[in-house]
Amino acid sequence: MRNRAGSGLNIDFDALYRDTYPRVFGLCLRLLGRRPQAEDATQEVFVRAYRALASYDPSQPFEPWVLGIAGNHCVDLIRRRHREQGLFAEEAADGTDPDDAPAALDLLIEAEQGEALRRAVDSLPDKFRVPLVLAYYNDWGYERIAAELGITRNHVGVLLLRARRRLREALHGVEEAIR
Amino acid sequence: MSCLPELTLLCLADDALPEDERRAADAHLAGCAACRERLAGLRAERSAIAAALTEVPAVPVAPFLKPASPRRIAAGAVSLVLVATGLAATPNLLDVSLPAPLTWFEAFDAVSLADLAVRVGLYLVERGGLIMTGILELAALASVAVLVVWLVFAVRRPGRGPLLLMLLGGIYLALPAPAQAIDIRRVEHGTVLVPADETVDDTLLAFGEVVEVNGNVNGDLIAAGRRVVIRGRVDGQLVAAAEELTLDGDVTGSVVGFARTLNVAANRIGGNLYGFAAKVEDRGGTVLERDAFLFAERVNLTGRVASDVMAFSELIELGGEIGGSLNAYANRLTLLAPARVAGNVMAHVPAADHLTVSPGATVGGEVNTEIHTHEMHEPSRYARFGYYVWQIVRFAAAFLVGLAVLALIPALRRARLDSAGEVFAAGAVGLVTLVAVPIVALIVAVTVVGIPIAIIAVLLWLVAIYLAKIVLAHFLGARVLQAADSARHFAVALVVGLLLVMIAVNLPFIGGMVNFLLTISGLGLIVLVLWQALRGRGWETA
Repeated sequence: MRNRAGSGLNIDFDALYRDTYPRVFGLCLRLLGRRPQAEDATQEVFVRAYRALASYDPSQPFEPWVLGIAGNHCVDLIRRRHREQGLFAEEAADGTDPDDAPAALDLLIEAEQGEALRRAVDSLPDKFRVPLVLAYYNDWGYERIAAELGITRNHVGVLLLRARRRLREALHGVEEAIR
Repeated sequence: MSCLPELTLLCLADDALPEDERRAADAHLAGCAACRERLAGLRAERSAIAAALTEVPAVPVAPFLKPASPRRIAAGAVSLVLVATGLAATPNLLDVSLPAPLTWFEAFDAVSLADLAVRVGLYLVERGGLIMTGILELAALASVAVLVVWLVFAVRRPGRGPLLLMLLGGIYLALPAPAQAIDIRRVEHGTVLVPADETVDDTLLAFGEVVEVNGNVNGDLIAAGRRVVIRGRVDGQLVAAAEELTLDGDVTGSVVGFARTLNVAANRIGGNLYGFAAKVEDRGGTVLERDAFLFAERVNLTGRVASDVMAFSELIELGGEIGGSLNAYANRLTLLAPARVAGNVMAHVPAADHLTVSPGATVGGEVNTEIHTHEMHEPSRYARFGYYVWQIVRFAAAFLVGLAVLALIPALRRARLDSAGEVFAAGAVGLVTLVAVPIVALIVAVTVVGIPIAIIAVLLWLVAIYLAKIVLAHFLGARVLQAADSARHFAVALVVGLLLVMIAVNLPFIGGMVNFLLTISGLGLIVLVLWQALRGRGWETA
């Protein structure tokens, strides 16, 4: 079935929808945490994509484009959830930062249990989880994340570093428990 | 040179270090094995995180519903209005005033529930002998409408086709089916008479201006007419709709009677009696072997009921005998002299002195009174302060119910009507549901599985009617918010939509029509969403 988008282009939107739905849903699930919200958000993302189809360049791959819309929409939702301005803002280094966190080596590689890692990601505060997911699920560069979250490029690196340290901490706990 | 800080290494691992810094870092790395190792660790960590994140639980792809263009919705609404007007203008087909029972938000209120039932009954009565013809004509018309919609939209939307085909097939199959096993007698402008010496050994459907059964029916009897009189004996269930329904004979099964006046006299009913009528009059000598459920404006009982009596009525006078207990919701309840109630009397009345127990009447159990202050008849509802209070109460109730239902069934939240065809289809499906369910339930009550299933069906139908406008309200509210480009929590959409709908249905002159259209659209929306949900589940298991 062919859908004629506003631009008059012939784009098989239904096929694109079917192909990219799981990936978009995955992003929404990772960002929003709960399945019903993620399902609602996924629908909304595709509605927005459909409306904005005129601005889509068919010579580019569709998935990154729709993931861009999804990331943007979910960040909006999370912002609304917090109702605070500087959710991702820079702040004085909090003492909870584990300076002596285990090094990246070994731990994550040993912990092949992706499930434990996923749970650890899910329990990260929004502040750390959002840049982490945008960087490693969506493959966004620091610049783009910085623009989306309204923070500096350098601060993106700081948030990612803290996020990773927390993950190591969490997984370290898991390892200890297993031993 | 000291080793690189972790942040720098992370940026390097994520390819996010500006060119000049990267060159400096590369220079350090060339001579520092420790930092190289740390960098490799961070890169490996990145892949591990990315791999873990990418693994997403398998999810069924929900069908994509294209956003509407307002013009298409308007076109759908206009065609729906045109068809509804056409139906209304077609004599003997559908009286648009029929769903007047759908008083806004009152469906859970016991009194309006009774009212609704009575009105549905009266509608059946008014259509009298023509009802069967009406149903068939309506079904044919609905089928044609659905077929046209299907043809127009199936090309653009495959997948919708099977639903409509099944609907179509269902209508054609469901209606004539009972006719094959049933003796149907129909006289448009005359009397259907079963003489005293005749015995009908079959289920009998009798439709006429007057239906008089003086003989025996060895099977169930469904009768509708302006006047229905049963003097003989029905060895089965009886379902009758009439302006005046007189039961003078015996029925071994249960009786479901819709009538303006329901007369019972000198008869024996083996099962339960369900009476929906403006007036239930018992001239004495009736023996009811089980329970009685009466919804009426006036109830006058002088016979004997072996078990319990449950009555919703403006006025209840009881002079007979009740083997069980009496549960009455009434404006006035009077137990006249020879009355005997073996069990308890529970009176839900507006004031304590509205329950009168005459000196000669006896009650075996306790007499309880519950003061029920809800006004049963408001002289002019708009002129009363209470009306507005009740509107607020109803609004709150609708909001809470809507909140619960939308939270429990998220599919309803995502319900959309995105094209003229869908608005029209929803309206058509809603209309068919609205008209067909009580009729099918009536037939089921007698022919197939029995009264409990029919009652459950009618209850579900009432609940769906109540929810119809709530679901539609949420849909409208969400659309309005979307147009204003402020997507909010569904509760906000619900409030906005409910306000809109509430104002719309209370508009003078067109409010009733709007109410009707909103109800059938909402009902259709619910049916379609449930259908899609069921189909979706089918995919998931496949």
